Order: sequence, then structure tokens, then C-alpha cells
Amino acid sequence: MIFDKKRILYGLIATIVLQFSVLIMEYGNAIYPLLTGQEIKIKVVPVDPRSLFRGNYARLNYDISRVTLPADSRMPRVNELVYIKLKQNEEGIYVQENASLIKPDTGLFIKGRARHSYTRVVDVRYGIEAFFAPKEKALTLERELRAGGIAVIKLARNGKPALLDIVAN
Amino acid sequence: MRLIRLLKRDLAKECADWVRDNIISEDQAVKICDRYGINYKQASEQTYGYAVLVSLGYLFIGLAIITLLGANWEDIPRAVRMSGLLLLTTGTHLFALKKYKDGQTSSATGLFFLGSLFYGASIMLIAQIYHIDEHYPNGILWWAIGILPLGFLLESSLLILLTTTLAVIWFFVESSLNYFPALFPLFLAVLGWHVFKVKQSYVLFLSFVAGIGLYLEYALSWWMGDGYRFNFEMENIVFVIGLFIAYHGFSKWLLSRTDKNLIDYGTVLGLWTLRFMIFILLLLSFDWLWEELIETDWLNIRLTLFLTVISSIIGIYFSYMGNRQFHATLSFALLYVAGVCTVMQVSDDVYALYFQIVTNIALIVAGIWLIIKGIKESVTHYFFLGVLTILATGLLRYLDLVGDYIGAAILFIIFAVILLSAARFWKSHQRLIQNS
Repeated sequence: MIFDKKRILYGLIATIVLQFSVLIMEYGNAIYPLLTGQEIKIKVVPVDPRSLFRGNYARLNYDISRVTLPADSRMPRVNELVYIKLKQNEEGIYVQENASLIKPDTGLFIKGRARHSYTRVVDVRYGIEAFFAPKEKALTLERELRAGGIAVIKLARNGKPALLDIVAN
Repeated sequence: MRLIRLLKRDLAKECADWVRDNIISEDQAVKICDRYGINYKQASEQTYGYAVLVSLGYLFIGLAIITLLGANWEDIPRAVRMSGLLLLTTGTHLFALKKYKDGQTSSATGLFFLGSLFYGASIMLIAQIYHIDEHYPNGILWWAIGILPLGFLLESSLLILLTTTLAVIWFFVESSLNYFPALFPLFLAVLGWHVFKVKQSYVLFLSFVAGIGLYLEYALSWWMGDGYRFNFEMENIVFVIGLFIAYHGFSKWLLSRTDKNLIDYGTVLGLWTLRFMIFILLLLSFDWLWEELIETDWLNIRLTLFLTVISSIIGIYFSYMGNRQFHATLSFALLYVAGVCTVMQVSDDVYALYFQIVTNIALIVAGIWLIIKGIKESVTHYFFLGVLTILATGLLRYLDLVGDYIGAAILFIIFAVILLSAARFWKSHQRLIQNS
């Protein structure tokens, strides 16, 4: 042993604290938009379910999953933050007003990360692309949502979203 | 290189049987075992089997919890689920900590292992409860990072194996999503420290060696993809051969050490590099791969040549320093550098046939060398690897002819001449030894 027992003990305690902190940070990150966010609705379509590591879920694709940056914008790097300003249409659904690599000063916006970009057209992920449910429910949801549906999300002031529910059209 | 080094537990058991049957004394058994770096007393106690069973038991408890992922347990309120996960993980770890404090290190390690499985399950279940889908490889990375200090502090091969397995899974998942797994060397560093400084483990040592190769290969691909995607090209195949030449030289250096653990690692590494080289030669015995290599539009010839030369120099240097069978590593390295340079110079794929013939002859020569080495050193593994190499070459050439039937027949005749000449040489060599 390169350390004495006392130091190992402190190290083990620090590791337990590290693991606990990771779980608490993950939890805090998850509930922050739920506690502070504004509820909005956006259009959604399911893609396909099941993940080996994470259980059963319906993979979701949003209207805002592919956005177009303004003509004077540069191409984003992979994983770079992208901000999408939202506006409410006459049906009460929030849709894209414009997309930018710069954080908007005012208004309601959602932030995501660039996945792929083809010129100014960018695939964006928001971290709310999975709706976890038991296998049967996930498959039923997929069937019900084939014609599309609405995702109810909570949107924090800094643009971070949290998925609340999915309802069929 | 004696392969008996890789069968230590069997040797210890045999010694125990000989002691029981009054063939040797216990003192002699201890001395025999000590020669191969085995603790006779410890090996006879058979605590290893118990530890494996307990670890597997804990693994299945952990798997049972992870399987709950599929159930989604929606009926339980979120707050209860969340607190349950935190309590389960932290409670198990605190119990393990108490065991450690009481001096029960082995039980504590097992419980930390179980707690680490709960920790991973918690990461995934929290993501599930709150429908989080933010770059999920990060979850696996945090899981692996959380276990790393436990393995390091407790010097536990089991926990190091768990964190390494997770790191490798993370490596592949992260790279499959086109992200470079830059933190992987951190796990390799701890793994390297563990296998060289703490405990001997062939599985972990081979994981360490393979991990370095994997990381370097992916780094090369990332570089060839301009730093935003992985671009696997022929350069990767050329480089992997160089890596194994470097490893081959390294195995010779390890064999020259006085530390028994290092000698064992040298044995196992030498064995695997040899197997790999035969495998590569068998692949290169087909003309299509040579055609691909000749037609390759090299992305960066200078870099490819640099990697070829540097890996050869590393292999030669270690082999020279180890002062063991230096000529073998030197021959491999020279053949490798000459082959790469020649392939880069020719542009007409008609030369693929010549390269193929040379490779097939090299396979037969390698086979003969292994057979002779096996007989000379009384190592059956070499003998059978040599026989297998020659038979595999013959079979492959029968199924996939070189040129046409006439060409294949000529090659078989050449094989026969080489083999019969080797046999004749062997016979005269043996006679000389007997006469002297």
C-alpha cells in the first residue's frame, strides 16, 4: 500500500462524497427547469425505442430538432451551444422564431447542442429526446404518436428544458 | 520463455498433490513455487475461488438492480425513488467503509464493488426518472470515474477491472458518436500503475497493452479526420503492425528483467504478439489486401513513414536492451519497414501477386522457425503454432489460389522444397550434436 490506513480512509470518504455529489448534481440539473421553468408545448414525433443501458424509452424528434442559422452566421462546431428563440403560434404551440449561436438578451429561448451541421442547417439536441416508460407503454406511445404529438416541457430562464409529458394530437 | 509461468495455479496445486503423496517435501514445494513467483501457502488455501464466487454474487445483485431499469417503476413517486437510490448507494458504501475501518479489507472491497454497481444504476435511473437524454456516454464516464479512486486506494484488481471495463465501454460509445475519448489515458495510467506496481494480473496487463494500442489507433484516425471525425484508413493497418513490433521488442525487454511479475508479462505479451504477427501474415497472404495497399491514396506519407520507423525503433531498442532474441525483432522490423516503403513506391497492382508470394513463403519460413524453436526449447506451444501456420497457409492457398492452378501448384512445390530442406537440415544438425 502506498498510503497509510488513515489516508486511505480519507480517500475512501472523499470518493463516497464524490459519488454522492455526482448523483446530487445530476438530480439538481434535472429538477432545476422543473422548479423554476415556464411550461410550454412544442410539436414532437417519436422515432424508435429501447436502450441497453437506460431501459425502455420512446426516442423523440422535435420540430426544432433541425434549425437554420441566419445567413451571416458561421457554421457551429460539434457540441457547440445553439440558442433557438421561440414564439407562440395561434394554436398555443411554441415554434422556432430564429436560431443563433449567441445567447439572446430577451424573450423565451431554448438551448441545445449542435450535433451535425450542413452549411447553415444544424441538427440540435436538447437533452429531452428520450421519454422513458415501461416497454408496453413506450410502444403504445409510439403507435399513438405516429401522426405526431405535443411535448409538454418546462423551460428554465437560461434556456435549459426538462420534459414533463407527451400527449397525442 | 517458458509457458509454465502462465499456469501458476495449476503448478501450485500439483505441488500440493506431490507433497500429499510424499513425492516432495513441503519445503521443496515452497522452493519450486517460489521459482515461479507463487506463494505456495496462499495458493494452497484456495481463497481465490471464494473471492471469485463472492464477486460474482455481488455482480448478480447489482445486475438485478440494473434490470429494474426495464420496469421503470412508475408507480413509486419520484422523490421516493430518488431518495431510495441515494440511500442504497451511500448506505452500501458506508457499510463498506465500516468494514474497512474494522480491518476487513476483503469484505469491504466486495461491498465497495456492490456499491459501485448501485452507483452506476443510480446514474442511469435518475436519467430515466427525469427523462434526461444529454449525451448519455457522460453517464458511463462518471460511473467509471467514481470507481477509479476506490480501485486505486484499495489496490483491488476487481474494482480496477470494473472501472476499466466501463472506461472501454465509454471509449467505444463516445467514439461511435464522433467524440474523441480524451480522458481514456487517465484510466490507462491507473491500470498501468496497478499491473506494474500493485498486483499481477494477465487480464489487466493485456487490457493495458490493448488499451494503449486502441487509444493510439483512434488518435491517428481522429487526426486523419481533421479533428472532428474518425477516419479509418490503410494507415491504421500499417500502424497496428508497427505497434505489435514495438510490443514484441517490449516483451523481450520484460523477459530480461529480474522481477518475476515482469518476466511473466513478457511471456504473455511475447505469446500474443507472435500470434498476432502470424494472423497479420495470413491476412497479407491474400492478394486483395496488397492491391488495396498499393492503390491506397496515402493521406500523409511522411506521417505513415514516421510511425513505421518510430515503432520499429522502439521495438528494436527494447529488444536490444533486453538482449534476448534481438535478431527476431530486428528481422520483423526490417521486413516491416522495407515492405511499407516498397508498397508506397509501386503503383501498379500487378505487383500484388509478388507481394503475396513473398508473404506466403514468409509464412512457411515462420512456421518452420516456430517448429524448430518449439523442439529446441521443448515448448509445445511453438511447435503446434508452427504446424498450424504451415497447415493454415496450405489450406488458404488451396481455397484461394495464387494466380491460376499452375501458379498454385508451383507455390505448393516451393513449400514442399522449403519444408523438406528444413527437415534435412534439422536431421544433419541433430547428427552433428550427437557426434559432438
